[in-house]
Amino acid sequence: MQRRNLLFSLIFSLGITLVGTYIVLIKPPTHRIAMELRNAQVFIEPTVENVQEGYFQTSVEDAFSDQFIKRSIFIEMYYRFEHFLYNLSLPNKEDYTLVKIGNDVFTFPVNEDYLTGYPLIKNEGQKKGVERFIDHVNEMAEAHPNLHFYVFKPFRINESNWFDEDNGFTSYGQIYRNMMIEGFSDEVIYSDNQPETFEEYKEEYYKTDPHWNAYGTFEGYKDILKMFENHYGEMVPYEPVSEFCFENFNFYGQYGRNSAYLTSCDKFCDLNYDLPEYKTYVNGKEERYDRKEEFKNNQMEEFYWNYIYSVYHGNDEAEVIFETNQNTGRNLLVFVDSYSSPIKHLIAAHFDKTYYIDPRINPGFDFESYLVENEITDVMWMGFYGSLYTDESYIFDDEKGE
Amino acid sequence: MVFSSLTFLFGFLPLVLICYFIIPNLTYRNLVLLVFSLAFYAWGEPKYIILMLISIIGNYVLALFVDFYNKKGNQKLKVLFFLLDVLLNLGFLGYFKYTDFMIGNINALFGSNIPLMKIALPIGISFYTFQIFSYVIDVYKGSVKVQKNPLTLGTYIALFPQLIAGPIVRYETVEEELSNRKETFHDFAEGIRRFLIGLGKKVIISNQVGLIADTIFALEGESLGLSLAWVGILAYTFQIYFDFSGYSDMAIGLGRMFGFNFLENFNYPYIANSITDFWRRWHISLSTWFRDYVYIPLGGNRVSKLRWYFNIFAVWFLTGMWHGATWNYILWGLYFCVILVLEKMFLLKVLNKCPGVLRHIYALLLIIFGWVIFRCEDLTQISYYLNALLGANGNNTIRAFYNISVAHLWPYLVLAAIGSTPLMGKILKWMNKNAFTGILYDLFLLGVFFVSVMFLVNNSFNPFIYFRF
Repeated sequence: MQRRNLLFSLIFSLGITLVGTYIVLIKPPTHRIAMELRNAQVFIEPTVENVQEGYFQTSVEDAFSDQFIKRSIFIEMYYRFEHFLYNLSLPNKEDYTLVKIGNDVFTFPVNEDYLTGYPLIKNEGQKKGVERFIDHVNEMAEAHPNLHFYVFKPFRINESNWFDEDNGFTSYGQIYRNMMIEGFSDEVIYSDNQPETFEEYKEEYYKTDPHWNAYGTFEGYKDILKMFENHYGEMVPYEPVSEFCFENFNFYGQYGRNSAYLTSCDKFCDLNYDLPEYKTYVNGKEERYDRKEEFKNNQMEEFYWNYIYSVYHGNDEAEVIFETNQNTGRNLLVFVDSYSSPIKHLIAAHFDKTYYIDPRINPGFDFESYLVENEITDVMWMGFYGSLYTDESYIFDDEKGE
Repeated sequence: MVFSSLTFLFGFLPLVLICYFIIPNLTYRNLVLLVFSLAFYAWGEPKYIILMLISIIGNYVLALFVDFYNKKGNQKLKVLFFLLDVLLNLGFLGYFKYTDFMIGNINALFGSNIPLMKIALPIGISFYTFQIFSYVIDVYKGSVKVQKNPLTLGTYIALFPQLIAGPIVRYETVEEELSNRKETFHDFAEGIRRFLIGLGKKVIISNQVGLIADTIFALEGESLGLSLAWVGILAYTFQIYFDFSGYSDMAIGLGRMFGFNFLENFNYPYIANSITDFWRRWHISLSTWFRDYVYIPLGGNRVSKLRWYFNIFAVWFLTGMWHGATWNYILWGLYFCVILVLEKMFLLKVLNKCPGVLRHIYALLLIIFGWVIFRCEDLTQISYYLNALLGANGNNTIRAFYNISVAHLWPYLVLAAIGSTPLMGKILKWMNKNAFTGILYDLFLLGVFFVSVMFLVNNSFNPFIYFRF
């Protein structure tokens, strides 16, 4: 007993002392935590001021966590255990019962690696938003009969009605979609990307992120060209010439990060196209929009702590202009959100100039003068339901917000 | 600083252990404990270190006066200095804990608009004030010797293992050990074992069932039906027990590592078969404190019936107030007051004739309803939750559990239910006695420590929330 007590005391005391000493005094500090997209807290020197304010104490507590030995492994172990508990608790493995696993993130037993937000349910505000958006685009089209108007909506999994039966509710995603299909006037062409089945969805969208993947983007691109064909005759889409996937990193999308569902990750793939040459102007400056070269050259270190989808394809920017020298006589203005990032260059390949405006971060945008100054021939709204149904930035009249 | 933090486990604790055991002399060891205890206290709110020092010095000096005039036979001055001491301690407690409560009540009663002072509550003030009282009152009564060494008294008052959340260690319990104790490997190892059990209770069980309770208590409207309400209150019932008893275990364990033997604070309260029994098992250091320093001095039960009722009322009113400066705590105290009076009057006799299972169910139900009052801050919330418990909001479907991200945590509820019976304790005790199973027991505890660290490291995980879609 005495030997056991001695041994146990030594193991515990030496263990905590050595670990503590290593973390504080020996271990080279970690400066960035890639998974959480933030700077790591390091140990700081105490001063009278920072101790009095309590900042020193807080920073030491944070630093102990951030600098802990093999922190990421501890976190991964924790989430693997959580994942195990989720599996243990999931009801009928064949159904779509929604299981909340994070901040507005749900999974469902039929394929637990796929994550979703809560389905759209009946919401008067949202319904009014849809009506308002439809009226607004119709009015714009009526006011500018010489321009072509389009609306394109990429899909989001919580718009589907796949979960209705197993969860005992009626979702409104498809009802709002039907309102869009039926509500636009003849002058406005509407289309959307609408996977009919979950299997189709799996092909075109990420597991851990609401955005479309490279294959979904290609489908969306073809759908968009079909809309243009209504005015310009046949438009042949550029076909992908090759595809590649990054093998050296896993993509954790928004749903993945918000739920810390680390055991589920996506492979990040892209398709190569042989497109006409183009120049890009980001917020007035000529510069490259995407960071594909850096990724392909394995120079990704500096991007690790960013949202890879955005960095790779190009960030949300107030204004991005793609310029080709094709003399098509067509200039397109597109109001976009983040779904446009991987498709911008594809659409632009069919116009002389394509102007991408993200109204959420371009509050001073003047619709009428922009049309005139840039000789716009076609106008398109392209965004997911949240942008089109409820975000007033996409409404360009004086009455918004009233 | 809390025990269940990486800073304490891998920073503070190794440092205090090294500094303490490197010194052979007990006086200096006490000094090490005092310095580290003050640092421990100052960690959360550095400015309140002054309050602690005033408390130590004030009580040291005033108790010396009480003792001096006691020996001189001057009762008037003895009483005067005693009252001054009580006033000093009550003044601090009253000012920091109850000022805003009083102002709020005055405003509500007279329609006045006196602004609240929003005074930050010094950590652990209720616990250490009661500990100081035990010293002052016992010196006044002459049942303990006055402490002439301010460092020793300071060590007692500020002793970090029990400073923040108890147990309320009376001076008489550690009087001898403060000046004459012997640390042994046996005590040290047993202290670590107890500490790790407490850490596991807090980090692995309490925090997890707490997630269930917090999620369900945050539900509003019709989303809180019968079944969810019961899961929520059961989770809270376990949370509060494992949180508090876990902390007590850690405190007792730490004390033992440094050679102190604190008294037990919990004795499986949820196996109680009456509320009287529950209060013999729950927060024992507080209930015995009130018994010895309030109830008995008021006359206990050796008084007229009316006075006896008043004595019980006073104890439970104060018990409620001690827990917090809001009416729900007072209501909670009075709730138990009524039940205890009824039990003393006739209910215990009736219960004694009932089968054991029924008595347990009776006690558990009343304890659980009590936690609703304890957890909900106002009467509206209390009545809303009680209604839900009684089915007034209808029932929830199984899907409701899955929709609030707590369904997967059910194994922790099972673990908590088993852990709140003596079964686990008995198994672990048995394991600890034998050589082979003892090694398994130690490995189990090191496993608990590892898992606790995993949970603590994960607490700092801040997943990125991408808000612009």
